[in-house]
Amino acid sequence: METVKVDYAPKGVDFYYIYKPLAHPEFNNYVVPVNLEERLMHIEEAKRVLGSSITWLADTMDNVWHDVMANTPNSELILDPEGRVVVRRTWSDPVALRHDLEGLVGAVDHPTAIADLHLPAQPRMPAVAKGVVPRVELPPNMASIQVDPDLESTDIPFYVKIRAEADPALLQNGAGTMYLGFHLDPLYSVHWNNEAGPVRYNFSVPDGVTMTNSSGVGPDVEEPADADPREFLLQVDATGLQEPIDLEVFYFACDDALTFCIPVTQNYQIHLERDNHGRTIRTGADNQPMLGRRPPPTG
Amino acid sequence: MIRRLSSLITFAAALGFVAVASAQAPGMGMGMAAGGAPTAMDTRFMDIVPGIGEQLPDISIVDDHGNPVNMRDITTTGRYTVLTLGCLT
Repeated sequence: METVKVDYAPKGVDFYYIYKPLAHPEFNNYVVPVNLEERLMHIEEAKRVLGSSITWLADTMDNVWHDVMANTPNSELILDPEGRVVVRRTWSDPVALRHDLEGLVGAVDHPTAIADLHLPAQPRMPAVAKGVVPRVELPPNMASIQVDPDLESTDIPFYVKIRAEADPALLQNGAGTMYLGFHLDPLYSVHWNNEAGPVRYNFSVPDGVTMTNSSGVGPDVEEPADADPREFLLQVDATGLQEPIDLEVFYFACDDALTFCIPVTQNYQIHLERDNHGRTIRTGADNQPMLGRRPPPTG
Repeated sequence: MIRRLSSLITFAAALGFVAVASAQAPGMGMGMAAGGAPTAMDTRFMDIVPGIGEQLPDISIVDDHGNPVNMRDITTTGRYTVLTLGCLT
C-alpha cells in the first residue's frame, strides 16, 4: 500500500487510511479504545509501527463510516475526481489497487518496492511479565457484547479495558455464559501491581436476574507485576431484561516507568446484546482461539 | 531481502492491513479473489456500500487531531481518492 501511494500520489491520487474498531482485539495486547482520544492514540501507534506516510482519518466513536462500509474490517474504495465510486472491494488489495490505478491514471515507469521504504516492523512489547496468569478457555461461538464506559464519572484514563462476550444462548434466550475480561491497555504502559492488590468487580444485579460470580476478585499472583488479562466466566439468567447491567471495577493503575500507582474506580454498563462493531478473538471455521489463546498440546 | 519482505507482509497482515496477492480488473467492484464464491461479508458489502458511480454519503469523520472531515469534501477535489479501512489488529 505504501509503495502504491509513493508512486501514485504524484499522479493525482489521494490516499487515506480510515481507522475503525479493532478487528482482532487482544492481538499484540491492543484493546478497544473507549473514546476518540484513545482512538487517535491508536492512530499514533499505527503510525509508529507502520511508518506510513498515508494520511490517517478516524471514524467517529459512533462508527458512522464503519456502518457505511458494512462493518467490514479492511475494505477499500477508489473514487474518481468527482467523488464517484469506481472500484469497491471487501478486502484491501495493494496488488489489485496498483492494477486499478494503472488503468485509471497510467502506469509508473519504475514501481517502488517495499524494501525501498525502510518501514519499521516491531510492535510495542510489554515491559513486565506476561504468561503468568492462565487464560480462560472460552466456550465456542462467543460474540462481543456492548460495553459502555461511564466516561463522565472520571477524568482518569481507562487504563484497564473491559472485554465482554456472550454465548448464543445468552444473546438469543437471555440465559447463558458471559465472558468478562480485564485487559491492560498497552498504549498507557501500565501493569498490574500484584503487591498493591488485585482487580475487583461488582455487578449491580437487577431484580429477576441471577448471575454467578456477580462479584469477583483477580487471582493472587506471586510475580510482583504482570500484564496478563484477568478473566472470568459468569452464568447469567437475565431472561426478559431490556436494560443494561451496571458494573463497577476497582484496580490499582501503576505505570511501567514507576511514576504513579493509583487506586481507580470506574463504572460501565454491560448490554446483553451483540456489539456489531466489536470482534471476538476466535477465528476460522473451527471456532478455535487464535494467536496464543489455544491450550497447549497434551500427550 | 526476501525474508524481510515476507516478514513485513506478514506483520502488515497481522496488523489488519492485508496484502492479498489477487489481481482483478478495474471497476469490477468485487472483493473476492477471481473465481471465488462471494462470502456473506461480500454480499453484505455489495448491498450496503455505495455502488459504482455513486457518491459517498454526506457524513463527517475526523482527522488524526480530532478535527471534523467531511467525506464528500475530501473526495471531490479533482483528484482520484483511495479510502482504505483498517485498524491496529
